[in-house]
This record gives sequence, C-alpha cells and structure tokens, in this order.
Amino acid sequence: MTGILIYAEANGPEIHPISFELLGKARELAEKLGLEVWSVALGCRISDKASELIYHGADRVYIYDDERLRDLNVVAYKNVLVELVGRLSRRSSSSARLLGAGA
Amino acid sequence: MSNQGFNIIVLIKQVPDIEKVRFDVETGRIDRSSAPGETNPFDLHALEAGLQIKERFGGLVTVISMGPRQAESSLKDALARGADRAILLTDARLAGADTIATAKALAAAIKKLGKFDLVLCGEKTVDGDTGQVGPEVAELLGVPHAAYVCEIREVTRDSVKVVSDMGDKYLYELKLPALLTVTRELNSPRLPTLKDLLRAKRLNVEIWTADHLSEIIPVNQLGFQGSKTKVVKVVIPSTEHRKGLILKGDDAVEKIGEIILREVAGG
Repeated sequence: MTGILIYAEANGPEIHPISFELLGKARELAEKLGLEVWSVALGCRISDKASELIYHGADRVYIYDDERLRDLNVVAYKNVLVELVGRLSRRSSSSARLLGAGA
Repeated sequence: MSNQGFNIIVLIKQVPDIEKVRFDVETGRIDRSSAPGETNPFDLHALEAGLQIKERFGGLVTVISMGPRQAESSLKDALARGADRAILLTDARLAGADTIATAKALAAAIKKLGKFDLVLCGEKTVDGDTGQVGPEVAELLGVPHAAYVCEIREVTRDSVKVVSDMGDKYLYELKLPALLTVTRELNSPRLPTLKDLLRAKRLNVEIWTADHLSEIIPVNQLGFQGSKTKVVKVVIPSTEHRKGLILKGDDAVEKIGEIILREVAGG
C-alpha cells in the first residue's frame, strides 16, 4: 500500500492547525487515488497526539517521542524525517509528501 | 584574498516589482515587461549582513545570482553597496529551474569558488515565495543552516550565534562554514550613494554559463531538465470581499440557514 505522508508540526505541546488542513487535503487526494494517509509528528511527550491525527484523517501515524526532539533542532528533525521517508520509500513508496510552510 | 578575513557569499535574485507587476488573469502569466526588475527585498538584508561582517572582520563579499541577463543590474547595485565581486549565472540551459535545480546551480557555483565561511540569502523571494532554495543550497554544500534569522548575536572566526524566527524564536549556534537565510527584521540595508552607483557602472559582473559549472555538476541536472517540479498552471487568487446582508422578520433564521447551505454547496 502506498500513501501520502503528512508532516504534523508540533513545535511545543500542540499540533499546528496547518497540519490538520493538510490532512484534510490528503484525505481528499487519497480517496481519489486509492491511497492511505500517513502522518508523522516529532517532539517530546507528544504520543497522545496520535489519536488527534487519526481523528483528522490519518490511517497510520508515526510518532517520534524523544527528549532530544523537545526543541526544534532542525538538523535532528531533518535526520529523523529523512530516515523515515527513506524507510517508507524502500518498503512501500510513499507517493507524496505534504509539508506545511511553517518551519 | 586574506586568510584572516571572512569569505562571504550572498545569494540574490532579481524579481519583478510585485507592487507594480501586472498579471494576466486569463493565461496566468506574469507580464514581466510591465514592471522593472528589482533585487528581491529580503536579499538586500542578507547583503547588508554580509557587508557588516566584512567591515568588522575584513574579507570578501561575493554576490551570486542566477537569472536572465537583465539581472546584471541587481548585481551592479550590490557592487555599488559594497560587494567585492559579482557573478551572474545566465544560460538558456539554466532557465525554467525549480527550487532544487536552482539550488544545484548555486551550490555548484559556490563550490567552484572554493573556500567560504558564510553563505547568506533572503528568507524567500517575493515572486517564488517558497523559502526552500537557501536550505537546499546548505544541504547540497553539506553545511549547517539557520532559516528566518532575525538577529545575529555573535560572530567569531569559527561560529555564529543567531536567533531564528519560526513563529517561536530559537537561539542557534552554528559552526562555520554555515548558511543563513535572513528576515527583514535583521537590519536596515544601506543605500548606495550616487558616487557608488557611478563607480559600480564601471565594475565588472562576471557572466557564467552552464559550462562553467559542468566540472562540478552535469548540465542535465540543471534548469528545466533537472527540475523535479513542473508548473502546470498558474492561478491568480481572486480577492473575495466581505459581504453584508441584513435580514429582518420572523423567517430570518430560516433564510440564514438557506444562505449558508447554498454557500457551502457552491464552495
């Protein structure tokens, strides 16, 4: 199964609303193309956000919950995202990635 | 080139004056002849930051731009403001580039120049509005970057401390060489004097084609050919104005309901 991956921005305790907008758009595209919607969030103590992302349209959620991701360390964030996208591409090829124009 | 001084690269782009430019709503094209080109406003702040660092530590400011031949005027303007060297990448084979193909050309030019300490660029351009090219160049060069830099707190010979405004503000320390994309809050760009402008008229802008970069990167990775994104259509958003409607009477609530349903169905 291939999917559309949405990066859910969680700088601080809350998911940025733009991520929910993207999930809505991804849901629309996924229904049309027969794809799944996946979402990824990075931060510290954000595991409870998974259900929120599912509620807004994600079929599968990846959470990276780590003390070292508490602050927006762009290099660490990038490394995690590059690793995930690489893994997904090898396994099941995510066909599109939508990122908010925030950070 | 002094060994102690900073080798600073500033990336600039000439953009249409967004206040004056005309759009053809039918074709979605920008009528570039309707407005003169100007340097992307954010890039002037990057140049100013580079000039200030040079003034404090000594060194060399090299300005690089990619674009059509007329972008030379923006590079002349940068020379008038105090840049030491200006390079224009201009070639039909570089045209039609998306952000990644643009970043590859700029990174190749920087690599060709050799050692550098700091690359500075505006946070985004007012025409493309992506904010991606700067960070992509940093990745291609394999150096750390900070985006949306609104304050440079400290510069030493091997590191910078900057405040990055990503909605929340973050204080980052980066090892040099590094790349910064800067906001308008960072500083106030100096204006060139008439004397500077006249002097700059005689200064030389180096013209580089894709062939100058081909030892660093295959030409088929640049320009339209090397682009991962293709523009299918440009749509100019229509501006919706607020509408006022006063409803009276007993059935007002019902009418509001009807209007909302119609708007939702229509949208």
